[in-house]
Amino acid sequence: MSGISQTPGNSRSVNESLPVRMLLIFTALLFLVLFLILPLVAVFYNAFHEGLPVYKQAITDPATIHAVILTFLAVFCAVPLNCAFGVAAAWAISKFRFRGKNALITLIDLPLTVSPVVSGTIFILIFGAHGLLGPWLSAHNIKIIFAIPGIVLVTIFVTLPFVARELLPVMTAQGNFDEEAALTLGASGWKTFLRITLPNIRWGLFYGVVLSVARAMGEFGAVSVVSGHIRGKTITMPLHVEILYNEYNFAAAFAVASLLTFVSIMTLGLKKYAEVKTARQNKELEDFMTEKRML
Amino acid sequence: MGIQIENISKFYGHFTALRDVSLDVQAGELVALLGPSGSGKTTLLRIIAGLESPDEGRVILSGEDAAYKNPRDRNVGFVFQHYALFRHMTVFENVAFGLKVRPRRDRLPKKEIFDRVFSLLKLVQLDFFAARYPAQLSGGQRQRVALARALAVEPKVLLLDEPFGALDAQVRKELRRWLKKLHEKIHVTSVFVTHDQEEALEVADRLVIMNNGAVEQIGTPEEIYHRPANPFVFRFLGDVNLFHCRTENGHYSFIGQGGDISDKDGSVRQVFIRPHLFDISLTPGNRESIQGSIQHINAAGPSVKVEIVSEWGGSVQVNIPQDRYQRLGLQKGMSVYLIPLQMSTFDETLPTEEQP
Repeated sequence: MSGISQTPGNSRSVNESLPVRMLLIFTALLFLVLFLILPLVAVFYNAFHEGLPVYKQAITDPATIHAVILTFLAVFCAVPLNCAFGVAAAWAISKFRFRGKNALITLIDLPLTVSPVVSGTIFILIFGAHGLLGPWLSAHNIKIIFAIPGIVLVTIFVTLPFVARELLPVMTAQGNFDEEAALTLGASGWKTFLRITLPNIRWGLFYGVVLSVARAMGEFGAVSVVSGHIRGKTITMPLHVEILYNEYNFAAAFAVASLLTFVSIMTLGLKKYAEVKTARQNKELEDFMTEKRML
Repeated sequence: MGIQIENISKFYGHFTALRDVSLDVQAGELVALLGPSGSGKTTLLRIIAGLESPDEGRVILSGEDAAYKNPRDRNVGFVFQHYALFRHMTVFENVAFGLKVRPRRDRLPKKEIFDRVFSLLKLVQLDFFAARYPAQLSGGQRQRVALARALAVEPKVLLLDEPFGALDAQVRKELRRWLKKLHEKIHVTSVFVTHDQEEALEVADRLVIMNNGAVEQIGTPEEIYHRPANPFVFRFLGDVNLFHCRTENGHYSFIGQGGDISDKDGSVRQVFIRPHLFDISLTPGNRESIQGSIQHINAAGPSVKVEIVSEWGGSVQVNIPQDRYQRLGLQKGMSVYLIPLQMSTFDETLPTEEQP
């Protein structure tokens, strides 16, 4: 809940001398320029510096379009599933008491702590030709690794924690009195969820979705392991960027990269919007609670 | 409709929240569950509503065992301590919620829902606030919205969990009188939980005093106040002074003060005396009295509160009328005699071990 409690002005006692302040600000700005602004400018510069026609050709290339479609397919499969999982997990953890709750909380974060390459390898070990389910899958002619299902599966895996992690604090703070009230008023479980729970968590949920969309689109490592790099078949946007670059087709590589960057910037905007909204909602809730406590 | 609670027990791990609780609530009655925090009163209320399930015993709502009934099918209105109003809905939508979520075949037409909600808002005197959000209302107003919302579904039983607990003293007093009047008007069987004995005594038709998950006494406010069943109830219903008394052939004499006493021959009793049931005298007189000296006087209020250090060193609270105080001309440090006007004893088993 940053954003809510803002430090009121600079108090004099913590003000450092001018040179120190300049040094700190300069360092921060230097890093910002070197590591964020420069690369961002470089992406767009390299994408456009051979002219708009080249750019246009790069992004309308059938292989690029296929990569874009595949990326969005992975996003559209992974994000709704993770929403369902995230809401269910956050609900279970925040509103019930059960054995293994702490283990579940820890496990949810696993995809964030495991290296993406390891995540990809795990799926190879399960679904690959020599993997756990490999013989059974090939006997039934189901292809997962080096095919689209594999890409979707690893995308789901790496984006698993985002929605749940956003919702957990929100739902824990709210408790379940609202749901109990709805229940005693005769609402069914489903209606309670739609009309009471969902409106209460909507901005946290939105924030979680934005984060998982961003991660799902940008995932490289895990997808790279399970994709098999079959051109026009199992190439997502980040993989496509790498292939183009390795072929010394820099303009095209940066053109596709600029698309991803553009989506990231939009995501940031949406994220900020959701943050402001959540902060406002939280503040309302907080005011509501404080007032209650004071009365 | 009436509520029968039969031998309910509830455990949380090793903690016993309720122990063999039985209670009959008559149709149309207003009953208070009164007890200190942790006495199990809220758990009992939630069990009646179906929000918790008992580990033993049965809840019977209008003659029907409610054990397997979902809270939404029990037709019970529940008012939460912190109101649990839906923040994203207006006052109107909050009150209409229970009517709007009914399955289509039981749902009232829109016009009727509208009429019912407005008549309820009028009943709780909030019809002008229909379009506001809960955050825009005061605590007392929110509580009334919560009440209207619970009443909208025409519950057969109304359950209120510390309904005035979060309000300030003045609003609290107004609201509880208002609740009493409302109950006289609509006569729905109601159970409310409170830890405020004054509130319970004023509002309820009957009181259930609870302690440590068990019922200590059930009775009308008058019975409970004037004939408490045991020392716990006596102490819970107001300030009390505790003494030890030796009784012999109908005569009694004060021998000490406080809770624990050693009683070897069974002739020592615990005696409870309320602060207003003392008279103060400047001379010993011929009745049994307690000697002490005045430590503190608080004359602000309808009666004068005098704190006295007794001959055994303990403190005794005494309340005397203002005119009596004036006439005696009491001063701090004066030596006085306390004459009990009424005493209560309970023949419970007294601890018999020697004191360390």
